[in-house]
Amino acid sequence: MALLEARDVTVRFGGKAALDQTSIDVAPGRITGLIGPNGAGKTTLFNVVCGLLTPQGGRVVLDGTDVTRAPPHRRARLGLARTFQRLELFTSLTVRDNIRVGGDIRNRWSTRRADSTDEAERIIELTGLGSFADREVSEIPTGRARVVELARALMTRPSVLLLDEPAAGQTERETEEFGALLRRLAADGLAVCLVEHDMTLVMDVCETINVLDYGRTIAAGPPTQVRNDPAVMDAYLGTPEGVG
Amino acid sequence: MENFLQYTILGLVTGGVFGIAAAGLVVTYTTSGIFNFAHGAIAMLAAFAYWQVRFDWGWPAPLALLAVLGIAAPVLGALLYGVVMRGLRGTSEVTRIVVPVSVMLGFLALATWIWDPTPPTPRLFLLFFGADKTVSIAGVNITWHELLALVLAAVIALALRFFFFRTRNGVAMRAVVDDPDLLELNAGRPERLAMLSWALGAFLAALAGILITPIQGTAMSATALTLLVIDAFAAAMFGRLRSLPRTFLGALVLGLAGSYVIGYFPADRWTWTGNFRVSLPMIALFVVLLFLPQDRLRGTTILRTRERFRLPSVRSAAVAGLALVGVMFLLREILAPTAVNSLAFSMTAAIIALSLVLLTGYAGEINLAVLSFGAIGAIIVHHYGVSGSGGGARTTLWGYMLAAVVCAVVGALVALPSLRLRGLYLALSTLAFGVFVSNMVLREITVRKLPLLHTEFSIFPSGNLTVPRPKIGPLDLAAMPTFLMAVTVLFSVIGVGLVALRHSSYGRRLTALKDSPAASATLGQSPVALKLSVFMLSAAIAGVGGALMTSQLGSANLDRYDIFLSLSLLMLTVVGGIGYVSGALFGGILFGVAFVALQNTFDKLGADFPDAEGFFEFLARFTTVLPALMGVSIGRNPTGAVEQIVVEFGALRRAKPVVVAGCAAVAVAYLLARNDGISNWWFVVIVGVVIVAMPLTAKRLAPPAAAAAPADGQGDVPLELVGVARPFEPADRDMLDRELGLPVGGR
Repeated sequence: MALLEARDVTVRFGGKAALDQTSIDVAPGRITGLIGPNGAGKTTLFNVVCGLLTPQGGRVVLDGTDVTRAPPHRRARLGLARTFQRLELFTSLTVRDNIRVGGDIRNRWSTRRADSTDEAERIIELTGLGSFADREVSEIPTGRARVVELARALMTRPSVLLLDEPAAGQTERETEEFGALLRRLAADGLAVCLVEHDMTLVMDVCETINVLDYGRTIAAGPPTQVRNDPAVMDAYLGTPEGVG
Repeated sequence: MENFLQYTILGLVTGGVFGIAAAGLVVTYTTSGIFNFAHGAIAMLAAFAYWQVRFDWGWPAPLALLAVLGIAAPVLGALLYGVVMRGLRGTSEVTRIVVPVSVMLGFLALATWIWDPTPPTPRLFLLFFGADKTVSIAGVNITWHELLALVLAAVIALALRFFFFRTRNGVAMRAVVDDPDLLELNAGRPERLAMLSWALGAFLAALAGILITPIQGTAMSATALTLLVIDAFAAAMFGRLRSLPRTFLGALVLGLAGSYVIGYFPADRWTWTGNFRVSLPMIALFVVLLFLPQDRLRGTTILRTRERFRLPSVRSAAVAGLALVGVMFLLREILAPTAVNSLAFSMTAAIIALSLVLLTGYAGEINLAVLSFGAIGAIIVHHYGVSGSGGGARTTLWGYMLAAVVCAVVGALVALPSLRLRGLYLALSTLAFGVFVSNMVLREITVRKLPLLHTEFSIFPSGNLTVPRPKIGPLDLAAMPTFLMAVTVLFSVIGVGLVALRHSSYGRRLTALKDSPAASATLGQSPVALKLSVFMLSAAIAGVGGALMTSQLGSANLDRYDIFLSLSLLMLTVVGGIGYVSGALFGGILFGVAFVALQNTFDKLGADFPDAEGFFEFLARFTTVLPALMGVSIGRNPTGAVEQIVVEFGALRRAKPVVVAGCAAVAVAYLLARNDGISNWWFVVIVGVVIVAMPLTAKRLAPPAAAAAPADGQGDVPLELVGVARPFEPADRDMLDRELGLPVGGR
């Protein structure tokens, strides 16, 4: 049973279809991968799901509620959280306050309040950001900044988490730790949707992978199946004959 | 029927001219992303320049037109972009609004400087072809001039259409809007195109200014002309600042509506008809905002804005607040009564500026009409907060609290339509509100019988609002020195409160909303609710500040709440540092005393040294333009002056003797002033010199530690970025070698 469903989502920019009747299911306790070449529509799909973009067609269902027309903050209150490919950190706040403010905001809408300071410390420890906590976000390396975005998203205690290229800018070791963290989060019941270009990470942690190309789903299934799918190889590498 | 036709044609003519102006606005906005608040001021300058060459110097019309429209206006537009606006890339929306506002204020000051606002003989600005050249259409006479305006509007509408869809530059300009980076990759030159669009925009503004001035038929007034073309803002809003056809349509609708209001409202019964006509475009702007579809929430397109505000701790803010109260107490003892007066006025302005620190500095939203909220506050206190009468009249605490509540409610009403839109639209709604308040509310000077309530009431009685000094419990603030201390304490209390607020979870949520609306919303923050709350709080502070300002003055006419004064106060606060409470103090003092004091000094010097009178007169006039120049400089230093001062004075930490010497000098000057050994002026001069000299001496004594920083490690700069922000030095190479485990200095 999927916690988040996007059905037949269509988005056109001018005459160009960025998403063409794309669907995706994200189930609790699992990590669902969403891959595809640049410009395939992955971030656009995320924007539709979290409400930053209104689709021309299709619908988004979150935990049984149709949220296609709901503003972003309503969806967040239903348990949706995300990170951004182009970092959207609060540049006037320190790393700690960036994370803390996630709890401050949640305390405004959630009935289960908790001290955002304590909660932030817990999340900082969980994500291993301790040594960066008092730095300005503009000073820390991109890879760490992506973890700050994850930590901030976790502060809302989400049930569905969308991650947009979280490993970009991370070192190999950091990516490994990140993968382990994702598995732990999923094991706790979180539904994770991961957009990522780092294929090692994707193949390693995802149970299901959806492949987008030109706004259409061209393949979906477990990693082993997707890896050997001719359409996927075609999209990523060009036709076998074409690549010389 | 004939009348109807007459009004229709008149409406179409003014609408056409609005359309020309509005088209210029749309062109510049779409290509450079900067809303040109100085658009009306350009039209005004052009009208004056045309008057100068055509009617004062008697040039023939074609030559005058060529000089103003063909050369001066486009060059001005291009220069404006090249020198000022281009530097605004990567700055926050606040800076991109305040800098054009500063340009507008600068042009106004310049026009007042060059063209005496009260000339001995009124300036004549004749219709083209003269008033006797008319044609008769269906029995209605229209002048050739009006016909020309109509034809030009149509021609320009068609020409712009052709330009944008059929010419290379035009198509490229549309591309700039969509994606400047992509255009650059495709060998387009966005910078050059933006400059071209500004030249075109200035040309259109100038044309509109020259056409509308004689149609208005009143004496030429710089402020009226500047505001007149602000009406074009409303027309541009019909086209959502993008669509030219809709912009022209909106302009025609506005022109016709204005004309019919004049024609068919019973002006003798409805005395507010004339005021209503003037406010009409602003009311329309407001209504259009209601119907604009919601903007897509965007993230910050820039990773780092150039504005960086450090946050003081509540404790240090409290210490600074106490210090301010102490300094004010000492100053009060030595200053002349007039100086105490203007200082008290400045402090009330600083309180109003605090509302901007909260709204703009913390939350990133803009209010262009703080003094209009101040006016509302003053009106409330005048009507409901006075006890006693005659010389014993005092205002009550209750009155100020009521003013705060009413202003918060009014603020909510003003802000609600545009809160779901981008910051620019909120800024424009407040501008509309400000013009509306000045034109309609503050001109409600006659006593009216209120229907149903059977009471007589006048909002702004006889055009002069009296607000006595406050009396709170046993504390009577009638005497100016006491009042000064009271407003200083209030400023400190609100200031410390704001810093505490910024440290609270509410403050963090505000900052999050300002930094990234998209991320804030995806965490569950409703942007509208948060923006509304902060706008209401800010309006309440502005209302109390405005009431206090009026109380300081004793009474005020409507000029005290002029929209241009609101804009000046905002500009000066941004110059000071909009993210800082001290920025508000800086802005308030500049607003209240600094420039007047400077001007007085130069006037006095001019009188004392008759030989150099011309020079000092020039300097005195120059001080009228100076604030705007400072405002424009925000583009280069968006964090503000206070920040820079703090950095400069940082050098003092390592130079204790300099601090001691400086304090001693100030103390001696203070004692001298206290015992009437020196005048106030000399005291100010000495303190000024000491303050400037201290960091300079300190720097000379102790070489800056910054030079040592790269040697003792890489500081906070990642290795790969060493030498990017500053020149790469040999020491850096050694450091890199060390970090990489290579033999240091070895090649």
